[in-house]
Amino acid sequence: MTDSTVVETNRVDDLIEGSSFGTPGARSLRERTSPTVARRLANRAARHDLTGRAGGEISNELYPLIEPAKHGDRDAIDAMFKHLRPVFFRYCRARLGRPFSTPDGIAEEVFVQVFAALPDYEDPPALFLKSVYQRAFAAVDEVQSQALSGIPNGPEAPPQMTQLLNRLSKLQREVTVLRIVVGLDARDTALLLDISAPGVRSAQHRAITRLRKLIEIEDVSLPA
Amino acid sequence: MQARARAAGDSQQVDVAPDDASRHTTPIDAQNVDFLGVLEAEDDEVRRRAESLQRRLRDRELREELVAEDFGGPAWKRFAEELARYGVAVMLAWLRTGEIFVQCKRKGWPVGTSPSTWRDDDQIDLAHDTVVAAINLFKRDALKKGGWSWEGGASLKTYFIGACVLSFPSIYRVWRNHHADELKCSALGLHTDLETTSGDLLAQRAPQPETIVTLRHQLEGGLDELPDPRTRTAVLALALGYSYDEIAEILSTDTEVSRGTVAQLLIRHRRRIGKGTDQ
Repeated sequence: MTDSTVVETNRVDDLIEGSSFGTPGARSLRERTSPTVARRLANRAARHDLTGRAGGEISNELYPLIEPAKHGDRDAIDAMFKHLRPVFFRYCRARLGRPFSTPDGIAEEVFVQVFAALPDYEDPPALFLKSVYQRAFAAVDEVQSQALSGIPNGPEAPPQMTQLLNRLSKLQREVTVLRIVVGLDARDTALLLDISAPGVRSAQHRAITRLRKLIEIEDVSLPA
Repeated sequence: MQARARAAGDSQQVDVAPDDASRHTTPIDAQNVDFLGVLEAEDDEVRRRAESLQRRLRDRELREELVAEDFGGPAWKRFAEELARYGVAVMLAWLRTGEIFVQCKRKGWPVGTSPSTWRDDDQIDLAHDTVVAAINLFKRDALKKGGWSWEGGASLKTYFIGACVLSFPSIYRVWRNHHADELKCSALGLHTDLETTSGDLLAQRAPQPETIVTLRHQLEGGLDELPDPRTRTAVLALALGYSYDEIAEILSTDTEVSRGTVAQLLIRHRRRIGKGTDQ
């Protein structure tokens, strides 16, 4: 440890002792936990933070809302809806394309299911966004399979860009939709797809390279 | 002696007088308060409030130090360790006394009651998982996003403990689901495997599981007759070896509880059961 680090640590120690964590009772309680255990837990917390396994921006916004919302807190439910709405409207629109009445209807149906099941939600809060995504993914897949089977009144053929997305691998397609269209950060995307954040970036790179090639080969007309 | 402080410039004024406005209403200039003078005050309540204000101002300095290094330097690393030390100690006390279940219920997020028998290692695991989640929640909401402010009246410590309470229900539910069968067996008296704790865990001065079980049995009748959960927690905590200062911390959640309040709770309890005090 360098001299400057020692000075810095001493200064922080002084601040901690002068703070609300420095009362006689708090100091005495702190001494009940060994420094080794504390260091291990602080490192664990830092790892959670760095790898993003605990989630990205949207998951973190949802995290403190879930418990109050489960118990009927109206403000918490409204705030959750505010965060979820744009994510899943964009997701369903990107996967199904126009007319937007179909994807919007599917997203709304997903929200109805999610909020109805919220009081019974028992998984970790960090996985809540993933649970909504899994419902949306399944609902979109069902609509697409109905379209492929030629069910009457099924959705119309998707537009060209959606068709191109469907020619990517499933992972590449989901990464592209979630990162580029929906706008999730790499941590949330990693959480939803059960891969690492670097894995998301690498899949995104491969997906864009592949899309570029498809556009060249297919002579896709791009919007002005 | 009535505590007084002079207002200076346009800096913020904070009233550290007791709630009874008729007694001490002079606002204290938080930036330039003569803390030594206030701390010499004879009125315990004024002295306690002044000390609390002084500590909140130091909380603010601490936060500014962490912000200056963008939570990525040695200050945060050091502070996170102290958060862990404090958080684990409070969570273990709350798990052992059942106070955490009272806190969750009070917040409107009930998760049932304390299992009648569970291993000390289970409580330690839950305390650790809760504190890890709470450290990150606290860093993000209270410190980075500015959810905590010293003017709000709550200390950083109170905000951190709030993050622990918020993090507990989901962690406990997952744990309970994974241990549902074990808990059923324990409740039926079919499970007596009380594992020994490791060296690190012993360093947390954990009472042996047998001690807690025995204590609960000894206190069972008396505890049911206690008038409020706060006294119940105080009595259990005292029996588990926590000092008055520590019990005051354990009971301080939304508002700070003083050592004197703990003493009063315990004296009243002892009078009720017809014994004298020994501390």
